Amino acid sequence: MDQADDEALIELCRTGQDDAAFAALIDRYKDFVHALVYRMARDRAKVEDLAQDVFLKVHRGLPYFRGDAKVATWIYRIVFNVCAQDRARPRVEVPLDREGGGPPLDPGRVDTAFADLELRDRLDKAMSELPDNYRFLVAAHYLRGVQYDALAEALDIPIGTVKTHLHRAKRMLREKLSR
Amino acid sequence: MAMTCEQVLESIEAVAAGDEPADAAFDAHLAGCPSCAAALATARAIERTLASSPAVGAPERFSQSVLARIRRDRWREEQQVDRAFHAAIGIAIVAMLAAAVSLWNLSGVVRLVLLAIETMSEVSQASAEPGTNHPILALGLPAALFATALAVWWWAERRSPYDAGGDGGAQA
Repeated sequence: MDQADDEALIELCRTGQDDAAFAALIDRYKDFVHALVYRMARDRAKVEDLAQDVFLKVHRGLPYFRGDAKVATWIYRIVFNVCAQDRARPRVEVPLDREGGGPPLDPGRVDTAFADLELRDRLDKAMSELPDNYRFLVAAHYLRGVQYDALAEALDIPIGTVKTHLHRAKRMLREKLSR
Repeated sequence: MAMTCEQVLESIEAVAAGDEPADAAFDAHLAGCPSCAAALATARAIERTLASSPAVGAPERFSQSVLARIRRDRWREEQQVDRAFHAAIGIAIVAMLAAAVSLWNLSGVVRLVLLAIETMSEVSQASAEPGTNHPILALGLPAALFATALAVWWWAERRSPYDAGGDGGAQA
C-alpha cells in the first residue's frame, strides 16, 4: 500500500464533506484488518464487530493523526489496542485440550493433509493462549509478511525485541503443541 | 564445539524461520539427538502452517456496515447536543418567566418603567449590592442562558462531519 496515496486519502477524509474518502480508506484496509483481527480475536463470532471497531477508532482518530507514523502502522496499532481491550474483558476459559485433536504431534506425519489440518486447529488454540503482544506479532508477521520495522513501530519496541519476541512466541507454540 | 540440547533448542525457531543458518555443530547435535530433531521438525511445521494459513477477508458489505455505524454514532452525538440545547432553552424560558413574575407588583408597569429609568441612570455605576432584586440581574441571567443556548446551536451546526471528538485511543 502506497504511503503517499494513504496520506492523500487521510487528507481527503479530513476535508471531505461526505464519506466517500473514508469508504475508500476502509476498502483499502478492510481485508487486512479483518484477517488480522480474525487471528487475534479469541471469539470468532466477534471478529466483524471488532474489525468495525478498528475503523470507528480510525475515523475518530483522523483529526489527531499527525503523520508521524505510516497510516498502515497506525492501523496496526489500533488493531492491537482493540483486540487487547477485548481480550482484557472477562472470558469463559476454553482449555487447550486434545479433545478431537488426536495424539501428540508426530513430526513424521506433518506432511499429510490431515496432519496439516489438525496442526492448524491446534495451532489456533495455542495462539489464543499467547500473550497479546506475542499473538499480534505472529498474526501480523505471517499474515502479509508485515516487516519487523513496521511491527516495531506499531508496538513501539526495538526491531531486535520484535525478533526475540517472535522467536519466543513460536517456542511457546511449539511447547504447547508438544505437550 | 559440541552443542547442548539447551543451546540447540534456544535457536531452533530462528533456524526454522531461516533467520539463522544451521551450522555444523547444530547439525551434528541433531544427528545424534532425536528429541531436538523432532523439535526442529515441529518448529518447521509451525513455520509452514503459519505462513500458509489463509487470510479471512472482510465480508461483502463490511464498508457499508462501518459507515452505517459512523452515521449512527454521529446521529447520537447530534441528539445529545440537541438535548443540551433544548434544556438550555427550557431553563432560559423558565428563568425569564420567574423574573417577570418577580417584577410584577401593584405598581405594575409604572414601577417597572421607573426601575428601568433608574437602572439606566445607574448603568455606569458598580453592580448591584447583594440581595437587591435588580432587573439587570433578573433579566441578565436568562438572557445569558438564552445566548448560551444559541451558541451551542451555532457550534453544533458548524462542526464538520469528522469533528467527532475524542482520539479513539489512536493518536499517531
